[in-house]
Amino acid sequence: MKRIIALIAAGVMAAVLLCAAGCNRGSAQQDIDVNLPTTYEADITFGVMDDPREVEVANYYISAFNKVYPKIHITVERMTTNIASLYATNTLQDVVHTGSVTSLARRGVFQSLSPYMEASGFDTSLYYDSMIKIGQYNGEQYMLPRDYNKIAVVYNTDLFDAAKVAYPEDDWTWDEFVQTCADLKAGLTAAGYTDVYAVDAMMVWEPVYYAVGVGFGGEWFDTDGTALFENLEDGLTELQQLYQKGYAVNPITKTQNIFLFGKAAMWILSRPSVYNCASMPDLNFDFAAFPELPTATTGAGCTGYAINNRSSDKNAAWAFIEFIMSEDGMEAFSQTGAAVPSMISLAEDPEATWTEYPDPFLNHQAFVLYPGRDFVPPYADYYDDAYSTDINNTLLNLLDNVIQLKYGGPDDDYATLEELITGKAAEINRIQEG
Amino acid sequence: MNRVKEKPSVVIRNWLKKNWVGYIFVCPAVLGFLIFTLWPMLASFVYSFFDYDMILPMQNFGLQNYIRAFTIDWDKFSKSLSVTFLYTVTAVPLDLVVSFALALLLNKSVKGIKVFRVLYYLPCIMPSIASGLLWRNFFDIEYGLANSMLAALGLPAGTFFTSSKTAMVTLLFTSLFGMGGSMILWIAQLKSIPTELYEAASIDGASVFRRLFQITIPLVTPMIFYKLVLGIIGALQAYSGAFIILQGGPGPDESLMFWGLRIYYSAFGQDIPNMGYASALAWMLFLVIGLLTVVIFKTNKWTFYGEDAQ
Repeated sequence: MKRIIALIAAGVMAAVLLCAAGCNRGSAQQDIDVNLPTTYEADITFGVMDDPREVEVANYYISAFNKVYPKIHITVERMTTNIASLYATNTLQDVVHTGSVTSLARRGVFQSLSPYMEASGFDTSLYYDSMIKIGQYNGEQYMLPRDYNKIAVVYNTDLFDAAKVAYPEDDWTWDEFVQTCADLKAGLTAAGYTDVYAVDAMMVWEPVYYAVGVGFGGEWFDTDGTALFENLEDGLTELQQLYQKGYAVNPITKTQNIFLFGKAAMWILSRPSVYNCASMPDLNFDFAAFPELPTATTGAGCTGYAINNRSSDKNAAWAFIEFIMSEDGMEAFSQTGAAVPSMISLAEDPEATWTEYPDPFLNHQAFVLYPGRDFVPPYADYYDDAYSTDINNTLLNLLDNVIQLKYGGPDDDYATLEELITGKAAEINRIQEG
Repeated sequence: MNRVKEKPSVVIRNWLKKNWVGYIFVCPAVLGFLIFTLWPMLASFVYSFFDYDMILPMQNFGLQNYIRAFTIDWDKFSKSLSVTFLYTVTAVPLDLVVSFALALLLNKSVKGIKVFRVLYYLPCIMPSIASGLLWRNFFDIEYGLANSMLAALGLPAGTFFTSSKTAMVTLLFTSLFGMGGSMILWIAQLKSIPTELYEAASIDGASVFRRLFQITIPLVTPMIFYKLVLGIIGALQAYSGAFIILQGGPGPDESLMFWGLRIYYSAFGQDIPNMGYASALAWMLFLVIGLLTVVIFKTNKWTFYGEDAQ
């Protein structure tokens, strides 16, 4: 009997220890101190997106940061599930890499950075305003942007040469882009490249379809989340025609990145995807700015860093984020070549370190030209985030039906494009009624 | 003879003393069930009556999540229902018939038969992620091997996973390659049938088909019953195959939006989990599976468990 009691007691102790180990990230009250001494000692965790390249970027930061704060030990952890789940299970890291702010800030997952910024005299004017705004909710800053991502065009110089088509210029318009697609299709076919598309236009990627819709005078959502879908016919027809005329691959059915394998002459991408191009040894490419739309919009966005509201050492976490946002931190990020830094002086410096990757002679300015055209789709902040998957699926379904002309036929649910668009808007609004 | 009534504490002590080794051995399994199955089940049952995003406290107690599936969300939920039931009524019989036929063929005493058994079983040992990626590339309509083969045969290109009309058929086709596991079970069952029965039937002049329908099938009914029950449960819960092949997407026109996939999307497919609704969907699925299982057991008069079975 004594043995059983001892075993049960041991089991209970083990369970208590396990629970205690899982509760080490409880919220703690801590006065704001933005002037930590360089001898400050702390252990914090750094959650990065589940991508080996992000671990590489994190290590660049940490290595540079530890030259200033050698006793703040930072452990990098890859976030293998969404931030909300990590927060709910008390396993969210102290500093978090994130692309979405509003829904998490609204629920108190992130610490407001505004008091820290105020105390340290943080100068937001050094960064792209459109990117800074992405990190705001309700007048407070919750995330600081580390990068400046806007869509651009990468093109395969060998395929352009084979088709005898001139390389695109940064100041090209949408009509010129469409004409280039037509020329490429004709030229490539004549050159024997019958299975190569002119462009992988990424038509179901938010920065593309939202921007093209707005760029042709349309509007997607009202600020209260109501799906308006007004005047979208022109923009969506432009995307439809890219596919219907055989210029662009079907974005929904493709199973691989065809540009990387020489099956598309152009690809619409953002800066982080340059890594994929550079990893293809036989691919010769260069960049051009995204073509100008009638109302001059180019899809843009960013990711950045936030502090877990339950972090036990928010001062150390802020010191790390402040370092990331400093010129030294941005320079460390620049060295990875992973993206364009959000600091304007570095982003627009033609000789900045990030422009050396993968080749300094490429047209890297394509990723920073025309900041006035930046269009950051704000819609995810408008509609009910509890149903974002259903809303996104309905949007994809709309695009699929538009691109593949699934209307007007005897088996189709809608007789015209206008009816299809209106019907899908109504569907999204019904989803949100709950 | 009158027995002296012992105190309960003494009874428990003696009982534990006698069986303590057994309890220690079952302890991990019981604890595992309690902590990782029963507790989450009970928790999800509670969640299903609240608006709950796992961050803010649960609020608004009521049946709103259950009602939502049949009102506002009915278009999408009914789509998932039809996809899931279509898959169940086709995949389960298909698996039963094809794997049984395969087992009959591979139950012959032919030289080298073991090689064929291994070949048919091999796809089962491939990780589902790997086979999903393989199928995705195989059925790529532009550059996949499937259309290359059809073109070589002079046949028109297929649309496979890219059309709502062919996506389900294509998925069912891919499921055929996982039948090696079922085949092994069938062969084990076929081996248990006494050969004397076949010998006697042959002497009486029974044809191959007569032996199949009068001896083989009646004697494998326990396996049919077993596979039917597990097949229906598995098919109603299915979504991972399509999830991998379509990279998490629901397929064209949500033609592969299984019930399970809808649960996953609601719970984990977005920045903010809708755990209340996901739990309600999961409990409805549990209820349907439970009811169907009861119906199958209640109508089970056709399984032959042997002459002496009760």
